[in-house]
Amino acid sequence: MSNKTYTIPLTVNGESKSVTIEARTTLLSVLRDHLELTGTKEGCSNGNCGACTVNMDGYTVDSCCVLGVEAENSRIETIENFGTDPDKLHPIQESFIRNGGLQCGICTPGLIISTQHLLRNISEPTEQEIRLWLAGNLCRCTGYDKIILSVQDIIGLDPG
Amino acid sequence: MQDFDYIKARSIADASKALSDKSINTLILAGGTDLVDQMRRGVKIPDVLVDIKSIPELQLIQFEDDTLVLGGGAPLSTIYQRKSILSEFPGLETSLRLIGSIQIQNRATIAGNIGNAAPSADLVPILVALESKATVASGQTKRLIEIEKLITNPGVIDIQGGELIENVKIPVKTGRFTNSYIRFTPRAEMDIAVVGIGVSMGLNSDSTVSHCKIALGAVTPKPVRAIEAENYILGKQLNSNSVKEASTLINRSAEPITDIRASAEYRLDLLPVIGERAIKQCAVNFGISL
Repeated sequence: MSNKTYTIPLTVNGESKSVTIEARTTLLSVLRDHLELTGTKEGCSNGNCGACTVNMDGYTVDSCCVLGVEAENSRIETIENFGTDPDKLHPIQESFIRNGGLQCGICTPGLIISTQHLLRNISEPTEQEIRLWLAGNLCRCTGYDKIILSVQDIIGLDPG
Repeated sequence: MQDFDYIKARSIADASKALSDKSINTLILAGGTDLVDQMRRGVKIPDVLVDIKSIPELQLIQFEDDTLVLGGGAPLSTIYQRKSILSEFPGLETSLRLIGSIQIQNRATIAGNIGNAAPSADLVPILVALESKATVASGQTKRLIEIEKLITNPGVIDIQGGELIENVKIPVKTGRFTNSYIRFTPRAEMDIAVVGIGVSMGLNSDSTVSHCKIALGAVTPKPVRAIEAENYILGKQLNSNSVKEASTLINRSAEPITDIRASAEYRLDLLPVIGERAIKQCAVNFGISL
């Protein structure tokens, strides 16, 4: 057992932040409990469901499986980076709403982060590629078809 | 999760020093995609974690003469993003892309997949088929060891206190060579191999088999090659008969168990089918239709 704390500087959604945490604190907890960014959700807590997906230095990660201390000096993007103006949501958000790509909504922040990561890497993904890139984001409501439609509907738009 | 001390190692010597203290439970943190969950469940309770991702050598991905060197701490997705690797090692690409989700591939490492020593590890059969070796380093020493010798039992690898997997070295063959990895899972994505088979194959100019290594996953406690199947097909024409016959010999090298994912009998039924598909994938890569 340790009682050390670590002061970790990191950039979240373009803003410089610093948190003082124990080594066991996950990145998910840094975001939700220390920075009060509760848009990122906790689902399975073991790297299966993808509800806690955030973008870390250009790559999506399950933030429940990353320690806060590992995120030192990294750039994190969360769902709070999208649609900061309620009257003008991000095109990915608009598309999920328009196409019924969400119902209860708990998987949606992670799905939007994964969708953006996909479209940043493959500008015109096939249905198979969409299914592959979103396989790490489980949804128990939609049956996925409308999520696929939501992604297909914004192919060609700037994912940001 | 119980708390622990965290050390971000900047060099192999740094990490090695931290890992040498036998009086406390010190574990290596690579991608953490398994370890963080194991700590949360109390399966692993370290006093100290040594994060090896900031050691420059462990992030290298490069060709050195006739060898591909993959740094032990590089995320899997950074490996398959290299086009030059994909053209040489289609079977390696397949296995990398089958491990977990994109989120997991963005974090998990080759050293972690080997170091966990899960019999179902997707990278191990293809690395064994490709006759890969791991560089096991400490502050002072380096040794090269075949992957199939490094893994000694489920969850156990042959490294001492102070050592870590620096990289994996895969020989690059020139001429008519290819490789494949095929696994069976009940689901298409996000699943764990019930049977996985890696094949490395070479052909002579008359299309007889000049080289064949077949390695099995999830059907033995530690990595094993299907020697009898390899020997059968060596020197033969690569055709549907020889592939089928070789595939049926694979079972002689397997010792499957019954577990939550499948019964031993089911795995024995699957092996020749998956083996045939894996060898046929090599034929497809060669441009031969069987």
